[in-house]
Amino acid sequence: MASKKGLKLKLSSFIPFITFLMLFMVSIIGNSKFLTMNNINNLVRQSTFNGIISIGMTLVILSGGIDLSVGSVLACSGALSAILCQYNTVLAVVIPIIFGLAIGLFNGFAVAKLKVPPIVATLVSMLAARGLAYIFLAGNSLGIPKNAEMFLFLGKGKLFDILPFPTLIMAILFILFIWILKFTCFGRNLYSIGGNEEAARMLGIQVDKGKILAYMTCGLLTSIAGILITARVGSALPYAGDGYEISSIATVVLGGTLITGGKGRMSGTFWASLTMAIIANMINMQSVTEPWIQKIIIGAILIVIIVIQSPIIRKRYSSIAKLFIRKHTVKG
Amino acid sequence: MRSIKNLSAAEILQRFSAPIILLVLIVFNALFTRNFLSINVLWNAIMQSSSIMFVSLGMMVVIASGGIDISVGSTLGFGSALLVITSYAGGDTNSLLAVIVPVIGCALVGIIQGLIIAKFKIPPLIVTLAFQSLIRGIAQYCTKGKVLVLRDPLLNELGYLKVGGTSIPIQLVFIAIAILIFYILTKKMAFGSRIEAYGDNPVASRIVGIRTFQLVTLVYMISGIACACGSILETTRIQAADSSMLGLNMEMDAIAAVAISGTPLTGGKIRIWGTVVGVFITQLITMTVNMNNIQYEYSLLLKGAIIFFAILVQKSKEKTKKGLRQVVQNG
Repeated sequence: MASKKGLKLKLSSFIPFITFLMLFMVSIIGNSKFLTMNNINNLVRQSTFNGIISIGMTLVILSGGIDLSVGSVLACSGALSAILCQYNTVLAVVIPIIFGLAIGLFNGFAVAKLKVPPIVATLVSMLAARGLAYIFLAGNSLGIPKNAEMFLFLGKGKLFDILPFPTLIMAILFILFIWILKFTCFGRNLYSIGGNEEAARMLGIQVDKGKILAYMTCGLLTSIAGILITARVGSALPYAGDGYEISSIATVVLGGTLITGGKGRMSGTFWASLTMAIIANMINMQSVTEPWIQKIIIGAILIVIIVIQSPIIRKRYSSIAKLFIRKHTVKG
Repeated sequence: MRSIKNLSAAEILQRFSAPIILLVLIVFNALFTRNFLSINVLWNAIMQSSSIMFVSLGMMVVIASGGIDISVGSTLGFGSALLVITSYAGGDTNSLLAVIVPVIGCALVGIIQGLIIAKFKIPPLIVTLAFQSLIRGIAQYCTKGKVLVLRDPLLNELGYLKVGGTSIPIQLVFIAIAILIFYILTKKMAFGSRIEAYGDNPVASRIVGIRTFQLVTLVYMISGIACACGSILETTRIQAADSSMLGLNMEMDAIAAVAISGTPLTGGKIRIWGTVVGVFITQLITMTVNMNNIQYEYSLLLKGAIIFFAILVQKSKEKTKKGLRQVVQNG
């Protein structure tokens, strides 16, 4: 019986993957051009930037918080890298990353030490960083000069002429953070902090440090995404990344992470980021030009998926708890 | 509760932080902003803050129940689109209908959200996030993405009506009505304490016998209706419905107003006067920026700084309370 329960558990933890697979099948059946090399490339590219940000968002949400500032930080670090890449490629990568870390430090410090609610603290940095992005760019878009080849390679370059550089980075980051969440103190501590902060504190876990690190990692990853997206598009816009916070939160939740924190998986976030890209791709492939149709479809699909997923995911967590209790009561 | 006389200066500063910030803003503007000290500025502030007042009061109820409503901006745009379309549909007698239809429409939006949240126990943030996109899309579909001009003699006049020959705008009356309704709803009826109980501890409140399913649905319906009222005021003031821009990022302003009031965002408390003050603070920041010709980018920085400062002052209040409690428990 235990093995049957275990099988069920294993199956239900694949829900984000199954969702992705089903949408993938629907796309293949519904669209003959879906499985072309070009379209698959597009699909992967669309998921890249949202995917990188969602990694950081997963950490923050796991720790019981939320980060609304990602869109603004993306615009800001993109602006910084566009300004600096005229002088030095290394600077154009390092300075935005430091900026992202600084915003993350501010968020983390405000949430962990000053006890400001996460949604307000990151709302403040969202406003401030958006203002800074406009100040850096003086309200205009800034193109990247053609001679900054090294920098442009970051966004447009391809490894072995097939794998885009940003996609490679996304893949590395996902593997790295799946490992971090599973096997490092930092990762395991995040689960305890998000699950029960008081209990974590009493167990001797450095709650404040964990939270600050989570927000800083989110800032770091967002600024990496900002650099890559600027290099990819070839220009920086002050209003770039508007709405990214929403789509990355949606991605994390689709990936099966509890919005209240403490429970979730990085692999789920990975499949969910592909799912989001497929939804966008489906709409693009139908050549729907009206923006309202896109909004309605995205909203409706999100609601349907969330409603279908929620009882399954809830059941999974409660049955994990039951299994755990049974195991330990039998042994004890 | 101790009377104000017995409080130390620091405690007074903390308890009345929101009004003090409002006062500081007013004094600052009186000193440094030209033409600030005229009655027209006040009436302008009232007119502009009328819609956000409704929305923020609705948001206050939602936050008190432990939820959050990200979809208010989109719902506002939806209500506005409904109003103008209904006013187009028929003859002169349609003014009343044009006011009723958005209220029903937005209430329905709220009810659907509340039902999903209550039935499937999905976090409100996610549900309202999805609805933000969905409702904005539907609003744009209603107007086909265009800006529709309001052409209804009665409603056109409503936005600039003055009270009885004086220069007092009609919006002041609506604000007063809004505060009164929400005051009765949350402070004089059992509904208010039920919301607070649910926000504080959902499980306990269900065990006690509160019908939580109905309560949650009702909470989001109230938020929807508040958005509809806000959209009517906003549309009659602007005299047009811009379904893609109206109410954009309004949820952030509303959340900020509620947060400034000292309402804990985790739920369980309703602070109606604090929210009213919070609305005026956010409105005054916008006015300060506009009247001093501060650029958009610096206005964002300023807004962020003021919200952060307001929250910090309140947080120190909670800290001192917690410290006191610990002292009592330990000794």
